[in-house]
Amino acid sequence: MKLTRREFIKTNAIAAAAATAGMSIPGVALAVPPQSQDGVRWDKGVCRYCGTGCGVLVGVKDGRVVATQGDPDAPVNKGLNCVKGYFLSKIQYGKDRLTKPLLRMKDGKFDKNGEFAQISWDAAFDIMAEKVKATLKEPTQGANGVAMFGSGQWTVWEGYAAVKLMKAGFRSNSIDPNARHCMASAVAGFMRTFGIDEPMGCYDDAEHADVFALWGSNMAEMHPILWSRITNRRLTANHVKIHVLSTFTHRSCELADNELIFKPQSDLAILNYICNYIIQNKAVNQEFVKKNVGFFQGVTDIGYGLRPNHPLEQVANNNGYPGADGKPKGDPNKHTPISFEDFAKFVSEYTLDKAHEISGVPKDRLEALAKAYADPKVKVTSYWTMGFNQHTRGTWVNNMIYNVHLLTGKISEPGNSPFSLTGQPSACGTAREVGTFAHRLPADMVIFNPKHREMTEKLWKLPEGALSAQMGYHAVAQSRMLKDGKIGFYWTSTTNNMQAGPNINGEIYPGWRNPKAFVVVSDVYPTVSAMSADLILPCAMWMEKEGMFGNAERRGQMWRQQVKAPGESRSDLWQYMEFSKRFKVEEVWPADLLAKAPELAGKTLYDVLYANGQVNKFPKEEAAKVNAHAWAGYTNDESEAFGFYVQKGLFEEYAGFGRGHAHDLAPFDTYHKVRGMRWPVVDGKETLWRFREGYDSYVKKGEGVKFYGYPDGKAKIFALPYQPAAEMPDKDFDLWLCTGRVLEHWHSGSMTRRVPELYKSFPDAVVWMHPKDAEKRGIKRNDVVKVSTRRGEIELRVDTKGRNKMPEGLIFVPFFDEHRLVNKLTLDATCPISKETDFKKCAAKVVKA
Amino acid sequence: MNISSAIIHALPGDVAIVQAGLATLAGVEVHAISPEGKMIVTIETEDEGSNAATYQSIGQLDGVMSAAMVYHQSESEPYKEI
Amino acid sequence: MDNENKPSAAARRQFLADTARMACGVGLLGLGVGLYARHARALPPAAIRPPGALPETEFSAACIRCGLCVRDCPFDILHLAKPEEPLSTGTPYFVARQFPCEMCEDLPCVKACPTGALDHSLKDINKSKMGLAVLVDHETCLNFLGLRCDICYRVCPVIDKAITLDRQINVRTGRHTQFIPVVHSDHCTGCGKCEKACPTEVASIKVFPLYMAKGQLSSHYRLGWVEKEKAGGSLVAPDVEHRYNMPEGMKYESGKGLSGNPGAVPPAPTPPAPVALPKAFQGNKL
Repeated sequence: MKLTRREFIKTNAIAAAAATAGMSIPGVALAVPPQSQDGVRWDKGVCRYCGTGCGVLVGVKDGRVVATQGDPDAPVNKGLNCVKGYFLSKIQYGKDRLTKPLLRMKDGKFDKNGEFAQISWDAAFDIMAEKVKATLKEPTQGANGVAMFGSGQWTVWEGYAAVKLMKAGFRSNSIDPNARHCMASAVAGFMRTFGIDEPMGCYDDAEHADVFALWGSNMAEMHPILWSRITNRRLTANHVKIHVLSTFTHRSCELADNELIFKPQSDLAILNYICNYIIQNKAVNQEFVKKNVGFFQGVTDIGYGLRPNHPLEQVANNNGYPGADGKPKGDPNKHTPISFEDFAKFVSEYTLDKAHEISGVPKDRLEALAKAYADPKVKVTSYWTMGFNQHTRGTWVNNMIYNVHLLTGKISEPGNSPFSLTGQPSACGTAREVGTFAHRLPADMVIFNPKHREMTEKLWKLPEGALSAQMGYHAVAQSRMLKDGKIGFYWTSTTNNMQAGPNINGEIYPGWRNPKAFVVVSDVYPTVSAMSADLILPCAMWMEKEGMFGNAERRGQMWRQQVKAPGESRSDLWQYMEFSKRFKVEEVWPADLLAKAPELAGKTLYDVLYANGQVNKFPKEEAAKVNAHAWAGYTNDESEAFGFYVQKGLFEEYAGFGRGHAHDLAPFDTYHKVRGMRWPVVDGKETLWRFREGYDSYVKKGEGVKFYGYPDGKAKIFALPYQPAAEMPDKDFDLWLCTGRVLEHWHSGSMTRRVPELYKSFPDAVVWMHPKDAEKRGIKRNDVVKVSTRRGEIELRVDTKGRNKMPEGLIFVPFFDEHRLVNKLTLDATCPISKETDFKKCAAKVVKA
Repeated sequence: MNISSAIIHALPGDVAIVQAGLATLAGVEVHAISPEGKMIVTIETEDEGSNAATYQSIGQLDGVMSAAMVYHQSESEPYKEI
Repeated sequence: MDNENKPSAAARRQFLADTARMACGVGLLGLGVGLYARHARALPPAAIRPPGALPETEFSAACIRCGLCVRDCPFDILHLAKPEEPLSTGTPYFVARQFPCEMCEDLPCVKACPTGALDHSLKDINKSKMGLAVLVDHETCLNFLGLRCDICYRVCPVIDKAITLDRQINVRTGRHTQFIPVVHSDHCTGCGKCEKACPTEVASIKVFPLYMAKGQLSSHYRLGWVEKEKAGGSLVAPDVEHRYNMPEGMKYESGKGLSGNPGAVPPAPTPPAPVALPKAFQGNKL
């Protein structure tokens, strides 16, 4: 940052005088760049990886991040980091950083089958604009044929700028985040049960619960710092018990008092059994249920989110797909009111015997779990991640864990908490709260609701009808529509779908390479996705831009830009805003829409979306003012490029959606001065537990508990059955294949595999299998085997020991290894409601290679 | 260039008078005033001598009970970026 | 090296004449240089050099295999390496499990050294770094198993500094504490008393030469709490005040969590008995 010696000395002089006089001068006293003796400047930041949201301090020297440390004052992690966080300072400096736009070319022109060659940003935007305009004009493609695949790793303003560009600019709802693969089921579960998204509790539940139940979550490896909090609770309070439910034994089971290894998909049966146990043992919190809960029966014949011609979809009558008459076949989300007695009767068939039979879990273990939930004196916190969410009944299973907590009233108070964990650093803050989904708008609003569209148009100063009500393509549909030629322009950022998306062989690769599609990948490293694209745009990452992430406990955290991005890399934010200058409103909007706002004629999308008097409200000098307490003369690259404090303008416009609507964010400036705040922040106060009087200012005095997401203030309990998985082992493919992660690598490994120490610690993916399963196939530990499904095959080594212990009949392969793409094998079956893929269950076979 | 800071003590009732007096002195800036009448000022002058002179003038202003220099640094390249 | 400490040539000649150990020194001459060079590079794990020994390559170069240190050791713990042993022939060492260093206050072995291979600037035996104790086997250490042994701790000449006991909750019993021995490299001299005294069949705590025993943190990552203590406060601006929506009588403080009227919310968990922070984590010790 630019700071003259004079300014620096003056600040020192003031600080010294203030200290001597015992006075504090806000901002000034601390405006001395905090430099340690080794010349490293430290500033607060957030870990780049998971949804835990650990605070870190970032050390910069000579324009480079040279060191990091766990922030001892960050309430989430108090100075700790996992081994990935330990190596954070290295993620920006992989040897193969992308620094120039690269286009596939032959003979000096774009050619889908050409080789990557360096071009200028201008040339890159030229061809992108040409492809967008052509797609909009193409009758088989149109507005929704302009599609974007974004990320739960986008900063808040990047996601927000992208939504504006797509939904208001191109009038396309085909924008979806990779969070669709990650927590769409959690969102759908929240929306169906409570009418409002995101957990009611917070991480402090960990210090108040008596019992923890992990459902399809290996927190020991995937949320290591949160896990250490739970471990501490277990170690310091003798009565605390931990139940771990999983389809195989993993690291979290080490701490389990009750380990429940169940057959894939049978979590549905176990949850209904627990409800039945609660009812049979008169443990229903009658008063709570009467006042706060309604009962509903959901439709069941909802299919598996496969392509409409799949036999499973042909026989499904409520999958919402077009039927023979062209009308949608029912609605998978439909549910009708029933009584408590109806619900009791519905779950009564899920006896202990039946739950045991379906799940294979010993009866005493099932009973111990049910007892913990039923005991009114025991506070229970349930955690879940991908085991629940990546599930063809993902929305149901989310609804069903709430059933348990609602029946007993164990919710919305310290220690009693159903808590959905997230995998990405801003799955909540960006993907969900900003609403970067095909069906969403900011602050939980949806495109189908005319009132929501109207409110959004007003806040964005757009003419009525600017927003389209036509559902866009969600993540899995995008891959299919690319293959079918319905998407002509596809832009992905901060994600790696060619590795992380399902059924690469069957859908994604053929889709991306379809000559009818032009695929742009914005990324920092040459990932599998980047190498499969037509155009690669080099991005700024993490501390190379100013950012905000929102973690799983509703905590929004900001950081300042610390260093410059290398070469010609630019932030996504710059890319969206700069690209918007390439379009005149007339080129993208129909005449009748433009007629409603003649004052916009001749303007560019940049003028309409970003230079709209709101986003450009704060001059760039504001950046120095807002951040004066940290460094004198702070600025960032986007503000320099566009001439106003872009991040503040975008944030404040965005915050207008949630303020007063139970999604209140604090003022922008405040976030730069705190280690994050948990929304809703009302009158400067954070909310730790929602829906409960006293803790949540949206619940009035005397109301006790109020689930204000629904107009009647009640949450919904759903009667939903156990149903089998979309694809199960048979005689040809005789094993369950489950995919997931390891602690050392984060997601597709694009960052962690570039940290030599992390790479060495776990270089190649392996397939874990039970020793007997291996023996039966004549396989020894460390043999190379071929794992195949109906969609493809990969070769990798077998492990029968180590961190994961498989039951017979199930194998596990992590997805971080780009040389062993397990998603060539996975099935693109989704939850029909949330559209999230089930990466945990398909049928595979293993033979010696 | 010489840059220094000082703590000035004024009676709370005289703060406005002292401020007005300080405003007449070149290179003097007030950065904070406490309810008890303590003020934090910086003094920037081109040379050492005028720094001392300014400091003396502060002490002679009406309403100033005491002025104590806290920090002083001379800088040959004040406009160089760090 | 100051001249005072140089033994007179006459004394040296006399020593060479009247000690049988001279044979070792002479024997060296008969050995192939290759063998010598191979042995000179690294010290085998069980062999610990006397106090004040220079780093191994320098030590091998400086030691003239005179055997004076061996002669002057009052406890006869030092040996001179024989040709078949995997270290430079004729150089002094001891094996902790057999006879650990008794840590004489007056450093007779160091004083005896004619060349400074044992560094004469070492004046305080407590500052010597012969090696470093490592609790190598957590599976066999009795304290790790929850038993009360603590022998290594109590036998340590630098007790409470070189070895401390870190209290941890015993998960198995749910009500006892495990006293985990923790070695602190800034105080451990590597004398080997703990290894000698360890009651398990094969020692669970062993002394290794420093190069084998000590890890090193990388510079790209700092420990937040250490840096904070060093700087005397946060390295970045403190948060502005947080406020929270709370029912009456309840208080929430960042870092401390929820507290207040126990009628309205569950009592805070009983805090565990105060646990001493392991030395390794106190202050700027790392």
